[in-house]
Order: sequence, then C-alpha cells, then structure tokens
Amino acid sequence: MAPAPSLRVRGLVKRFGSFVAVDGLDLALTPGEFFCLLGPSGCGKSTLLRMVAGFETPTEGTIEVAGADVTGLPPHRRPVNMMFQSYALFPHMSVVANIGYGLKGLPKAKTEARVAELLRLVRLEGFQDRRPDTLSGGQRQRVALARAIAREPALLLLDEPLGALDRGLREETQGELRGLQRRLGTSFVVVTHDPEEAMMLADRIGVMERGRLVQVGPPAELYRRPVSRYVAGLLGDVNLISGHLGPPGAEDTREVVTAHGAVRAAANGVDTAAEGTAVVVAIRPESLILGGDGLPATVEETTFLGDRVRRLLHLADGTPLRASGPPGSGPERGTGTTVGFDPADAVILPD
Amino acid sequence: MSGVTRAALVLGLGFLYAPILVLVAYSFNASSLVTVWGGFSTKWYAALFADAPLIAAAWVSLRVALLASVIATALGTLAALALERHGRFRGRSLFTGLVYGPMVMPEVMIGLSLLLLFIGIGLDRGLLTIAIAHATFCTGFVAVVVSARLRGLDRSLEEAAADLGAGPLRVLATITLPLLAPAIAAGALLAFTLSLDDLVIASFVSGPGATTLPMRLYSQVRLGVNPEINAASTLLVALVSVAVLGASWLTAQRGE
Amino acid sequence: MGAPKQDRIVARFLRLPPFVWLGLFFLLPFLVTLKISLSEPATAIPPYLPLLDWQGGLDGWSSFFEALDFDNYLTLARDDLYQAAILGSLAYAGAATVVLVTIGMPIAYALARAPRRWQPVMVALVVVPFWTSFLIRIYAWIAILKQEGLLNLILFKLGIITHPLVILNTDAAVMIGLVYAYLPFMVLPLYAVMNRLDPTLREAAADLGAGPVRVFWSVTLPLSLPGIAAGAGLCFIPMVGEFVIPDLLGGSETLMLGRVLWSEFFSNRDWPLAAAVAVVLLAIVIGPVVLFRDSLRADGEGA
Repeated sequence: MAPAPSLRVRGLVKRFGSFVAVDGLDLALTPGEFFCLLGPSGCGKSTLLRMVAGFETPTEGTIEVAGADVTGLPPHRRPVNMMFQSYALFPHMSVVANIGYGLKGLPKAKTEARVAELLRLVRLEGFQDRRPDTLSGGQRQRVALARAIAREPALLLLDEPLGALDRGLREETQGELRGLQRRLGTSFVVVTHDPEEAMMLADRIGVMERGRLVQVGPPAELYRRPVSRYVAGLLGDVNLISGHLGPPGAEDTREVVTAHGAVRAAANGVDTAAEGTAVVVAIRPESLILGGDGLPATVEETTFLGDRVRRLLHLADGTPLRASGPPGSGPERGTGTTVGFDPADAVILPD
Repeated sequence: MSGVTRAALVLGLGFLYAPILVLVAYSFNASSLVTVWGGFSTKWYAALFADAPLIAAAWVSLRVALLASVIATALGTLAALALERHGRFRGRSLFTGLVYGPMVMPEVMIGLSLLLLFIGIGLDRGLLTIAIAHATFCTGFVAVVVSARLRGLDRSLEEAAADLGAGPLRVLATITLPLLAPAIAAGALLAFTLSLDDLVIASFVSGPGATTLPMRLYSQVRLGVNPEINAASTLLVALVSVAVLGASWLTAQRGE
Repeated sequence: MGAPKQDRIVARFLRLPPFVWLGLFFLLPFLVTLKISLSEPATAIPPYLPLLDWQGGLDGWSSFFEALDFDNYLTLARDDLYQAAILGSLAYAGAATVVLVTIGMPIAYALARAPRRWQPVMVALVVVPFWTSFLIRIYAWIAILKQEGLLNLILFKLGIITHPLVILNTDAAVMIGLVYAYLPFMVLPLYAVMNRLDPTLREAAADLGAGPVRVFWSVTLPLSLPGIAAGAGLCFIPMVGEFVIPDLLGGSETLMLGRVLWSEFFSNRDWPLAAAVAVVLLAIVIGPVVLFRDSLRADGEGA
C-alpha cells in the first residue's frame, strides 16, 4: 500500500463574509514532496496555508495530514509546523529558547541534544544565547527554520520564507532550503509570489488564482504546457498570437488560422473544441525561429545581452513578439524576416 | 523653531508650572503669610512629619492604592485580552460599555451610586469599599493602556507558539503576558496614581476611620492656605517628577 | 483562530472576572441609583425598602413599578436652582473647552515642531503636572488668586493696581482652574495628531506660496481636527461633573451640577434628589460621548 499523502485537502472553501478567499480546493501531496503555492497577493494562498496550520477554520471541506483528519484540531494539536513570513521569533527569548520552545515535555537532556543538533544543522553554533534582535536577517531566518523543524513535523509550511532577505542572500538560501528538505525528507509547502523562486525550489508548483488552483504540475510542465494565458504569463515571457481553431485532427497538434497564415501548435486540451473557436497560440521567446518557414514579421529592436540576443519584432497587424537566441548573425533592426516554431514548442490556449 | 512657537512653549509650560513652583517656594517660607517672605526655613517639613493624622491618612491612601491597583490591573488586563484577542462574542457592546464606562462617568455619580449599593447590601464602609470603588474606575484605564500594546503586538508570535504545540494557556503565560509586561506595569502605575489622587469617590464611599490623604488635605485646604500642605505638596511633586522624567528618559534611550 | 471550542472556553475565562466585577460595582449601582432617583425620600432613607422588594419575584417587580415616582425629576425641572446648575455646568465646561482649544493648539504645535531629541522630555514636562495631585494643583491657585495673594502682590508692586482685585471665588477663578487642570488633556491628543502629520505637507504648501499663517489655516488646522475633537471630548466630559474646582475656587453663586449633588447629598441628606441630579448629570455627559463617537466613526469612514 502506498503511504498516505502528507497533505490531502478536499473541497476546501473559506469565506470571509461575502468574500471567497478559497473556493473549492482539492490537493494531495506525496510524502517528501517540495510543493510551491504560487500566485499574486490576495489569491488565497496564505489563507490556504493558515487553514492547514489551524489558524483559520474552513467554511467547508476537510484537511488530512499524514492520513489523519485534522480539520477540527487546534493549531497546537496538529503535526504541522509553520515558518512565518515575519519569522515571528519570540523577542524576549534567546535563540536556544526559541528553537526549544516546541520541545516541551521532552527530558531536559534530550531537548538540549536536539537543540544542539538543530543549531548545527542551520550553522548557528555559538549563537545560542543571543536575542533575535541581535541577529542578521539571514540568521533570523535560520533560527525560524530550526524552530519550525524541531518537532519533526509531518508537513512544514513556509510563508514567503525568503521574502525578507535581500537578493544575493536569497539565491544562496534557496539552495540551502532545497538541500535541507532533501536531507529531512519532510514535505514542504512554500507560499511565494515569485515564479523564479517557485521553479527553483519546487518538485511541483500549484498556481492559484482567485481562490482556485488553476494548474498543478512540475515546473517544466507548467512552463511548457500552461493551461491558460495567466499561467503562461506568470512563469515567464510569452508571445501570444491570436487566431481561430482549424479543423480537428487525430494528431497531438492542431491547426490555428491567424490573420497572417495557418500555424500548428500542441492541442493542449482544446483538441475537441469546435472549429472556428477563438484561441491564442503561446510560444516562449527562445522557441521562436527567425528566417525559416513562418509568418512575416519586422525586426524593431535588437539588444545584445552577452549570452544571448533579444529581438523585438511585430507582425503585420502590430502583434508584438519577443525572440531570444544565441548571439551571432541574424536579421538586423528594421529588416523584414519570418517567424516560425516547432509545433511541439507552442501551445493553444483559450482566448 | 521659530520665535512664535518657542514663546508658545515657554508660556504654556510656565502656566503649567508656575503654581507648583509657588507652592514649593512657600513651603520654605518661615512666615505663614503669602505676602511676606520670612526667610528660608524647613520648619513646615518638621511639622508635617509630626502631623499624625496626616501621616495616618497617607498610609490609608497607600494601602487603598495598592489594593485597588492590583485588582484593576488584573481586571483591566483580562478585559483587554478579551476585547483584542477574542473580540467577537455576544454582549460585546455591553462588555465594552462596562469596561470603559467608568472612565467617562462623572466621579460624583460613581461615588454616589457605589455608596447607595454598599448601603443596600449592608457592606461596612472603610478601606475596603474605597479600594473596590477605585479598582472599578481604574480598570478601564488599565484596559486602554494594555489594549494599545496588544494591538501593536505581532499576532504571528502567538500563532507561532500555538503552532509549536503550546495550548492557549501556555501561549498566554509564555508569550502574550511577558510581551505585555511593560504595558501592564504602566497600567498598574496609572491605576495606583489615580487611586492615590482621588478625592470625590473616596469621600462618598469611605467610612469612619478610613480617611485618605486627599480627604485629609481637602478638609485642611478648605480652611485656607496652610504652609504645612505646601511642604506636603512639594514632597509629592518632587517624587512624581523624578519618576516620570526617569521613565521617559528610559523609553527614549530604548528607542535609539 | 482555529479550535473554536477551546478558544471559546479561554475567552469566557478571560471575560468572566471583569464582567462580574463591573456588573456588580458599576452596572448594579447605576441601576440602584436610577431606582432611588425614582423613590420618595421617606422610602429612601437607609435601609431603604425598594431594594429588598427585588427579592419578591413577580409581585416584587409589579410593586417595584408601582412605586416609581417622578417627583424628584419634576422638582429638578421646576426649581430655578437646578436649572441654573445644569446651564452653569454646560456654560463653564463649554467656555473652558473653547479657551483650552485656543491655547492648546499653539502649545501642541510648538511641541510637534520642537527638535525630535527634545520631544520626549517636553511631552514628559506636560504630563508631570497630570501625575501630581489634582487637589494640590487647584489649591496652589488659592495662594495666587486670593486677595492678599501673589498675583495681587505682583500687580500692586508693578503699580498696575492700587486696590487688590477680587479674583478668588469668582467665575474667573473657576475658569482659570478648569483651564489649568485640563490643559494636558487638550495638549496631548493635539500633539499626538500633529506629530503624525507628514512635514512634507507643510513644506509643499509653503513651496506653493503659502505663508506660515496660511499653511497653518489651510493644512495644519484641518488635519488636526481629529485631535481637537478628541481633546475637546476628553476635557468637556469630566469638566461638566467637576466638583473640586468650583468648590475651592468658585463663589457661593458658582452653580455646577457636581457641587449641587455633593451638597444635596452631604448637607441636605436628600438622597433621592441627589440620585436624580446624578442621573441628569450622566445624561448630559453621555450625550456628547455618543455624538462624539459617531462623528469619529464618520471621520474614519471618510478617510
């Protein structure tokens, strides 16, 4: 039998008055998975996290952690721990007291040994008697992390764990966080609004929009096969060319008739839609091929970026396009060219 | 600062302090007449410490203030926690009215109504009834001070404690109350001072043998200016000034 | 928060002591006072009977309502003395509030514009008198204002007067006392609001050509209105019920409700009438509180 999911959420709804923060959400995480909830502020991702932790009571639905229903349990009875965005370190306690706070009930010697182990794990030996306000941002973040994993939770929730760090430190910490999660084997759920961070950290990403999970999958799948313009745009630059569906076929790709000619792109769930439905074709800048078979376009601007060259183009009807490729020869500014792409690198999305 | 604002400040503070400074000066005047300077003397201070009824009244006041401020601090802190941390409940507006009502209630009304109650239930009037009355009207002041601090407290600290397995009582004891301690102390100090200063309510609810310092001072003040009271006032003012200036200096230091 | 059941138990535990205490020593006494204000003097001499009636169940309640008697309020309404006291309280408190706003504004403004470093000390200087015995601060004015007091001495020495002025035991002395005692309550809320004003607003106004006076009238004053409202409420309400100031500084003709209640109670021993005065006083005080709260709420929504 497969182990129980570390988190299973069924039909979760949270309303605040007439505002629906989380709107019918289902999700299951496999043990040891690193999961990122991605979305803009106000999309309901923090509310979801707070319901799992027990700070908000769901209006409807159930929450299971490691196979046990925790929906009605108070926060202190849940096998779940959380790292707060503000870190929420107790200002009146030392680093040791903060990390050991959740270990109440263990024999003193065991607590001390565990705290020492955690201090080593987050590389804060020698800081045990410091107060939080005497630590740097990165040190505080590591204390918060050590405190949250002290109880060996079945599931660790992290609310914007890197949000308070500056840019350089953030990248370094992303790697550490990933490594720590692999070593512990605990399921992590990270809430973030930064797509790059989500792609760097996560085994799977769940994109949230207005209280719903609109797409869940590995980063590469979300990047290559987004289900909507919203997801496509969230994960990086994307070119959108509008058109109408051609006749249905048996293949994985389908024809789209644009104002400048027909193209083919991955059907991506629209294979059964009626001919003539308005759609857009989404292609990443690095997938555009200039100068082969394709639609006529004009080069507007060429920018040399060292490892690659970015070109700004437009189609005859003014549709802007961005192409990115290796440096070298190519069409110059002001010249006409054609843009094409491998149908497997483009997806058809509902308009 | 421009000349106008500086003048406003000097005049304003001058107005606030002139009468107090006059009292201080007269307390060292050998003559008991306001218009005559009879030379420097500390005889009124000697008389003050020999004034047994006044000393007794001061002790009554201190005991009342201690008891009242302990009760008011406990009740006010509980009320602030109930309103700020568990704010939604039936009867909230009644509760709010009960807590803050005594602050806007005229003192004569509080004094009279409590006296009528004490007589009605047959409670002997004395030190205890004054302390009960003072605790009642000070609770709201403590609640205001503690609430303000609670509102400024990061809610996620308490959530983090709960998340780490602490039940509601452990959260209260290890996180909320330690972080509120400065506000609770400030509230207690405020309650103590208010109780020490009250004349009107104490006059209504006190009984024979329980004369507070303000009651004693008032009965003497009604008879006119008295150098011994000047001396008493000077001591009180000196004590309070040192305490308040020290406290504000400490907070200023911590802020930097 | 989660765990609704456990939370509710904790919340109830927190609420219970203040609820019981204040119900017993604030709400109940108020109801007793209300009841006694509606009693005849004969039944209200201790131990007064109506209180015992409360234990009589339904019969007790019906006799309770039958025993209600509005004579005390009619007396208050008919008697010139009480009307004068009500109007006097409002007039003194109102006039003093206007004076307080007028002199409080420049002081608060000066405080807010003082160098940052000095502000805590200056605010402490404004607060210290508040912590000093109220009675003593009022008493100090007797030595200054009385006929052979300090003020007359100084004016006489300066040659401004030849005969001592009569100030103590007049309306002027009461006004001085009220303004003096309540000045910190006006300055502090005003300062709190002015201190939070963005200084660049003043600079912007000056940059757009407004002189200091216009900057004050067009920017500082309108933005300070919440502070003025708070300060006025904080001063007016207790001043209406003030007893010590009119008693020590006022004359025999200074009529304020707090003082009338005091003498009705301690001198005339007419408890029902004193209770009725207390209820009227409360109505006068609660009125502005309700208005004041509504206007504050409207401000909050408008912002």
